[in-house]
Amino acid sequence: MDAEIIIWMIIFMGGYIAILGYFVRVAMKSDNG
Amino acid sequence: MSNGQREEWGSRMIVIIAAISMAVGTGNIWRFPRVAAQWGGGSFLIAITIALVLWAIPLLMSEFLMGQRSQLGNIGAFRDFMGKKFAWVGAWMALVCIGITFYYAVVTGWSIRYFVYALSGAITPGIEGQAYWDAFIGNPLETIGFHFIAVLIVFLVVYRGIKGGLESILRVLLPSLFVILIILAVRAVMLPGSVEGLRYLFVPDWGLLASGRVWLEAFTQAAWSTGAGWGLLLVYAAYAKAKEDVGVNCTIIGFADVLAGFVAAIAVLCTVYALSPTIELAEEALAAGNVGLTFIYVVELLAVMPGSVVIAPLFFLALSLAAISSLIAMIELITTNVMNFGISRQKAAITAGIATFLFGIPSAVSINFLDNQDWVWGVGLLISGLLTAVAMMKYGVEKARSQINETSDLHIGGWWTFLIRIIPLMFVVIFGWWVMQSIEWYPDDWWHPFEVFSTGTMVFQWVILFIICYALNNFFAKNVVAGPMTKKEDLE
Repeated sequence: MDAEIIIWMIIFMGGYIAILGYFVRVAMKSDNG
Repeated sequence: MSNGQREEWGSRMIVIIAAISMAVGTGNIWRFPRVAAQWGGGSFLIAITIALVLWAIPLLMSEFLMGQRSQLGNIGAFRDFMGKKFAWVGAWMALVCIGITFYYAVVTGWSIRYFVYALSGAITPGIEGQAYWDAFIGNPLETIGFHFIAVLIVFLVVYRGIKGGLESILRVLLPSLFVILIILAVRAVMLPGSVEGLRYLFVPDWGLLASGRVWLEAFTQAAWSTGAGWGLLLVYAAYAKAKEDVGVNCTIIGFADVLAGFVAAIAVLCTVYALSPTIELAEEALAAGNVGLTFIYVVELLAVMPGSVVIAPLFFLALSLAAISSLIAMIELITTNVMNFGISRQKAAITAGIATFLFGIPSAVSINFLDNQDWVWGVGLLISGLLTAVAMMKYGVEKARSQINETSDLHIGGWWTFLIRIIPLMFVVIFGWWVMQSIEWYPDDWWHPFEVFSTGTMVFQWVILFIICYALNNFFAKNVVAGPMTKKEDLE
C-alpha cells in the first residue's frame, strides 16, 4: 500500500481516535474523581 | 414527566451512547462516503473537522443546555429560553424534525427489507440491482409493510420509556453497530484493489480545498450528520441529570459521529473501488445518489464479494441499526413534546407511532414525494440550527456559557460565544448556496411550489408551517407544562 495513503489514514483515524480517547478519559476521570 | 416521576438517564455513559446513536444514521453510511470521495477525500475530512468545531459542536452544546435546564421538549425549552412569545420557534423546530421522521421511517423500512433479502440469500452474483429495487419500490404493499415494521419496532422501544426502552436497547445497539462497521471495513480493505478507495477517502486533493464547494458540502454534512440544531439532542438532554456535563459530552458526540462516518466510508469506498470492474463504474456508483449507491450498486457489488453470504446481511444490518437508532430519537422527540401537554408517555408514544405510520405512507408510495420532503425539511434543518443560535443570543450567550461551565469538565472559553454569534453568518452562506443550487436546477420554474427540489416548494411548505406555529403560539406557551425554569408569567 502506498506510503502516502497510510500516512494520511494514520493522521485522520489516529487523530480522531486520539481526540476521542482524550475526552473519554476526561469524562471517566471526572466520574470516578 | 411520566407517572409523576421524572424519567432520567441512568449514567453519563448511556447519555453519550444515546446521543451518538441519535447522530449515527443512514447518512453516515450512504452519504458521507460519497461526498467525501467526491469532494477531495482528505481535503473534505479537514473541512468537516473544522465544520465540526465551528458549527456542530457549539450547537450541540446549546441544545444540550436547553434540554437539560428546561427538562422539556423543544416547545417548552424555547418558551423558557426565549420567552412565551417564542414558543412557536420550538414548535417549528420540532415539526421540521417530525417532517423528516415520517419519511425516515420509510427509509428504515427499506433498510430492514434489504436486510431480510440479504439474509434470505437473494443477493447473489448476477442480481440486477435496478430491477430488484424497482420491483420493491413499485410495490406499495411491501414499502408500506416494512414502513409499518420500522415504526412498530421503534414504537415498542419508546413506549417503554427512557430506562426500560431506550437505555436497554441503545446500550446494545450502538456497540453492535460499531463492531459491524469495523468488520465491514476490515473485510473491504482486504479486497484486492481496495487501496483506491482509501486513496479517494484519505489523500487530500489540495486544489479542491481552495474551492468553496468543498467547505459548503463539509458544513452541510457536519450539520446533517451530527444532528446539531435538529432538536433531537435537546430532547435527550431533557432527561439528563442537572449536573450532567455538557462540554465534554457534546465534543465526544460530534467526533464519534464523524468517526463512524470514516469507518463506514472505508467499508463502502473500498468495496466500491475493489469490486467495480473499472474506475469509471466505481465513480458512476458514487454519483448515483444515496439510494442508487446503497440499494443498486452496493447490492450488485456485495453479490460478487467473496463471503457475501455473511457480509451482505451484515451491511444491511448495519444500515438498519443506524436507521433505527436515529428513528428512536425522532419518535422520542414527538413523544416528549406530546407528553409536555400533560399526556402520559404511553398515550404520547401511541400518538407518535400512529402519526408516523400514517403520515409516512405518502413517502412509502411515492419516491418523488419522499425526495421532496427530504429536500424541504433537510434544508429546513439548517434553519433550525440558526434558531438554536438565536435562542442562545436571546437568552444571553455569556449567561449560557457560564451555565455550561458550571457542570463542564472542559472549560468552555469565549470562543464558544464568538462561534454562536457567527452562526447566523455561516447560515446565510450555507443556506444561500443551497437556494442558489436549487435555482440552477430549475432555472425556469424555481419558484414552483410543487416541483420536487425547487426553492418554491421549500418556501411554500416552510411558510405554511410558520403560519401554523405562529398562530398556535399562545396555545403552546400556556399549555406546555412548567419546568424548573418556567416563569409564571410565561404560562399566563
